Amino acid sequence: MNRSARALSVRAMLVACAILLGWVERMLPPFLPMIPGAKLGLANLATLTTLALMDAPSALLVCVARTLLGAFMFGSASALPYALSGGVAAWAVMALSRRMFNLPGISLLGGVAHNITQIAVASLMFANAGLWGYAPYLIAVGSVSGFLLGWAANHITRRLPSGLISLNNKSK
Amino acid sequence: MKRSARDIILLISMLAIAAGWYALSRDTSANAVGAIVWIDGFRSARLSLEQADEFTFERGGDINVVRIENGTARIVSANCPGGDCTRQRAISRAGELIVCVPHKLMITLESVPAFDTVAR
Repeated sequence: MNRSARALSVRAMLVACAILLGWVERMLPPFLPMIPGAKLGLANLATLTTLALMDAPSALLVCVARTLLGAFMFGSASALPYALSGGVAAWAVMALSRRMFNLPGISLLGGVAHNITQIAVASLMFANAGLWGYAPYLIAVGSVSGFLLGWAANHITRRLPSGLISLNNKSK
Repeated sequence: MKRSARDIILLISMLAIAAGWYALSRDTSANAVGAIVWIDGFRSARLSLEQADEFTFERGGDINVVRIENGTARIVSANCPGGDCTRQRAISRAGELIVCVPHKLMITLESVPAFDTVAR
């Protein structure tokens, strides 16, 4: 198969996985409903997998595509600025920390960056700095859920058939 | 240092930062006497926590119902998509807050009495 067509299909498949994971998370009852913005971030598994097995630009593509498509399919317009800014910030931090940490650490930093960005965006939208009161909770939640997701992504990347998700054409 | 050890240290230090931030922001734990309702960045009402009551805030079809009882404030019903604000705990201490993200509505608490009650 043509190499670029293959890479495109793999990325599209990862976007589909991310949307599916996001949908599954929406069906689960909110864990910690008392903290707004606290979520598991299952869809980030796909971004992490892309970052680990492909490259940073592909991961950004998967992240942005799944956020936009997810918002059009079952999200709400009011949540989009939060989701998009959080996703891109998480991607940037994860791409930069790739050489320093394993997936759990990378994902943890991504989760914290996502949540901090959401507070920053919300403070601007609400024109009120009082929202930073949620920061300690969201840093803790982002760290723990990010770490666990990174641990899960570690297992996923190890168990996937080698070459299934890759930039080059190793598998036949 | 092994990378996996670094991950664990990172997790512990992040949790320590969160705990430290929480501890530092806790000096505002005095019981509140008033709830401020902010809509779209503007202070739209101050509700006394001293008497039980229910208030409806409506703006452009966005409705949130705030109930005051036993010195606490919470949102009992709202027509926002997720209804997350109705699941947040009742707040009673200065510094605590409730937000309804889709409606850009926020409730904060303050421990200083309202101007008119001081004057009275």
